[in-house]
Amino acid sequence: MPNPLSTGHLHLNFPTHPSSALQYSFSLLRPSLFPLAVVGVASSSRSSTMNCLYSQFNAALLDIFPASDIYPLAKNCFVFEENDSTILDAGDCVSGLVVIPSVMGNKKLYLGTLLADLCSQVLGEFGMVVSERLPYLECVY
Amino acid sequence: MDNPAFASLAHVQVLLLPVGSISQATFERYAAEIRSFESIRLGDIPADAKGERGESLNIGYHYSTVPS
Repeated sequence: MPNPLSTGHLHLNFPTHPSSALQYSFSLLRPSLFPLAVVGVASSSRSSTMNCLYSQFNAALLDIFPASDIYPLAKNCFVFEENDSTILDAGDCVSGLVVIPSVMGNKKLYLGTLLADLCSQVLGEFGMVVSERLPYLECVY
Repeated sequence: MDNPAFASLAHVQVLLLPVGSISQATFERYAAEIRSFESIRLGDIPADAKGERGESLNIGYHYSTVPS
């Protein structure tokens, strides 16, 4: 993990299209080709429940990423609450989904915190990938 | 042709994925909010909640070539 006093930045890029399946063989050699994290973007509506959205998010992930692939290293689904909808009960919370209220005053700060958490997961998991796959990479080189 | 961003190979790609019955316009609006974060300060990134997993980043080697 970065030192709390580190002065650098982690630069982010937010594509909306996944990498080509043809590139998966480069997943260890060129990680920059792949999305290291996925953020689902959902809008709350009366017809949707948290469990339903979570199922749809996971189904979409399985469609895009082969189960054997090491990416994405982190995932989260942001459910943006619309002004005219109130679908979400307190007891309806699902791990892996985050509700962003429409009336939240410091929404930007909250989004930044969520993205920082996601980056933390990416860095932690990337360390695991490196330590697990390093012997394989050494053989390649 | 678009020019790649500076140090684009070092950028962390975060795929934005529409979920559920979200319209394209709504998705683009929220995606724009998320895209406003072009970078995250390293000091703002919390320690990994799973304990010492991040420590494994210390394992490994830097391979370098020094041509003359």
